[in-house]
Amino acid sequence: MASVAERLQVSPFMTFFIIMSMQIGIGVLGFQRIIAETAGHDAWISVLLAGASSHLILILIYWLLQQADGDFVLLHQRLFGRWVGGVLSLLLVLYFAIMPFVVLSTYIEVVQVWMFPDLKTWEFSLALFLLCLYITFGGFRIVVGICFFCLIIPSYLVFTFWFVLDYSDFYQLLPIFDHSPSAILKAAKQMTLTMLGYETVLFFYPFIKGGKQSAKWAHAAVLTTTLFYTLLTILTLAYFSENQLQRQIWPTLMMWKVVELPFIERFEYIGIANWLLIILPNICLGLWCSSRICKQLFSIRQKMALLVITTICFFCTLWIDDRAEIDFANTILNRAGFYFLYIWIPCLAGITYIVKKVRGNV
Amino acid sequence: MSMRTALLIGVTVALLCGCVRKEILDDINIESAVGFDEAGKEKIRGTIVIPVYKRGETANKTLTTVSSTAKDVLEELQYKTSEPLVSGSIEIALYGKQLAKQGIFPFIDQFRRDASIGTRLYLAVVDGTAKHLLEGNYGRQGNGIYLSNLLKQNIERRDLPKTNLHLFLKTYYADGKDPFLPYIRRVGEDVQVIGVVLFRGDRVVDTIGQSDMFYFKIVADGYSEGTHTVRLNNKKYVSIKNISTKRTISFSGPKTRPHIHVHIALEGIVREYKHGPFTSAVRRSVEKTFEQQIRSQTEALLRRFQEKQIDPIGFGDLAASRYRQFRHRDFYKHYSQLPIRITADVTIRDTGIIE
Repeated sequence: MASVAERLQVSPFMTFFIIMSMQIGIGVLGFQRIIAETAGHDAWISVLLAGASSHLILILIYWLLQQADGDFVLLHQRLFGRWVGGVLSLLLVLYFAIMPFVVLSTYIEVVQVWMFPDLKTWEFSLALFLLCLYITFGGFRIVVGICFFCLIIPSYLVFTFWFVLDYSDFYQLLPIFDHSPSAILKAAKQMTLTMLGYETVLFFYPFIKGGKQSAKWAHAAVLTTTLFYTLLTILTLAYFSENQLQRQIWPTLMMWKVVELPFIERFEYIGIANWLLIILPNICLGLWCSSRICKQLFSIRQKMALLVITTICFFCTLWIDDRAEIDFANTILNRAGFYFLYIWIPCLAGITYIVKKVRGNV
Repeated sequence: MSMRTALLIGVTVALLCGCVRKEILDDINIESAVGFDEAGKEKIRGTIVIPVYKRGETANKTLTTVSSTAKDVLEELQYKTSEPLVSGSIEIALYGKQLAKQGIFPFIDQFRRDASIGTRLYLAVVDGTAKHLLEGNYGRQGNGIYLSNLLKQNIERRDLPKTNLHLFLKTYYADGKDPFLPYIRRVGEDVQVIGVVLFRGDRVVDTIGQSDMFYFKIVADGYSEGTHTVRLNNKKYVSIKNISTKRTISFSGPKTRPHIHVHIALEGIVREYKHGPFTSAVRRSVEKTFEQQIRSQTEALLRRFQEKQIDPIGFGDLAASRYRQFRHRDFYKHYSQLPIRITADVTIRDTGIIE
């Protein structure tokens, strides 16, 4: 077991909050259009399929962690040697470092389009990265605290979808399975991108007291996220007509436009402002994971790595400035995530299994 | 985390606040209603209403200008105001009948694109010009609020089917349903809902009058809370308030030429009957007559839609949810000849608080 002092660890059930807060991110604002483009009104089935596949991958991840005594970076090195293993882990540093900057760029774009067109990217990104540095400098326990609160506080937003029911025609979901299985599967593949986030467990596993017990909480988190996404997809499909949905960039925000409360005219402003809390764990945990791998690889202080990564991320957000580039960065990140989870993790499990048979241990 | 870093962060955050442009309520003009009319060839007249708040009530200020494209119209009005115009709380957008016949989508596009406009925005078509209607003074809260309340209460309590910007766009984009909007008219110093206009695409092709709105709402929305007067054959009449309405549409036969069956189950209470006691014999005859009326009126309406090749009820979309691999194009090829059967079932539940 990788040695992490007990005072730095968190209890297993916190895994639930870490994983869920990491899964629910900026993608929620617009994933419906993409899957509905492929699978039409059957898209909600794809969400369930993507959820099921996440459970399978999560089982593999936990099995791998058992074999490696909880240290994924070490597993890479033991299997592939110091150099190749190191390079593989370095790719993961890159993956987790790109995440904060992509999430933040996307969020800033939303704020600029919906609320403040004249908001300067650098001002916002500087303020936010300073905040994230402050949080991540506090160590893993603080990051977990942020994950916890940033999931609990905005959770009330679920109730706002009540207003949408008024304008929803659920017959639009019928007939079920009207699209070919291949279309539904393809949409499920696209959906896996929105489900990403549970891969972080590979790196924070040593920080969980009695790591193994956290498996059930991790699965509970993935299940809850899946159900939430399914519900949201069903509502979206009932609320918009099919062609109308294809014209929305952020269907979730559009749905808030119909919310009417006596004390607030435009609810989506509250929603967008609240969304900052939802992306905060994404950024913080992304930074933490990448700096943690750096620390293990190069034996440097984690704060040092954090400073460097955050600075690079900050300059990257300045450099990106239109939707095409943000889309491109999102696609790259999502594709990397997909290959990592659905290709690399099963391969790695296979290799580990064989090595274990041959060598007797990993 | 040292004190110094914390202080640095605090100061930075504080400095960065207030970097975006402010919009102070007293320094802006908030549009509450807009109207579009045709003004000669390829010209558009735009009218906006700005509420002017005075003690106790709200006055209306209207601004009008003529321009060649929809987008310019509202922009050009900026030249006429001392404070910037903001569109965030437009309550209603009106379209003159002439313009609506040529297509209103170009004048809806900007509302769709503007992040600051809610999708509960009401749209309506005006008999006459929107300018004439908006120049009146209605209610104590200003024209915008007055007009949106007028439509709101007619939708919730009367016979106007549900409409707003979202529903218009939803049906506009839907393959199997055509949009409709309320039809209003200025009568002296009042505004009146006089019917519903029906669209093909974004052009008005037909109008439903007040007397048919009740039946239209029952079939389109599946519910209505309006009051309806049933004329019995012996020159007596009875006024009935709807308590609950349930509409079921079912399809049978092949998917390109289905038989459509519309069933309407209605429950009501007697509001007014002044020709002696309301016996169970009278009740039965009222129920029969009402059922008969619903059948014939609804049938006439649906027949009209078929002849005009419009589908405001959304038969196409409903059929799409019942048949696999449904093709809207094949369905609408035969739409005008589809047999539609209507059945009604009326129950009068009670007679009010007297016997």
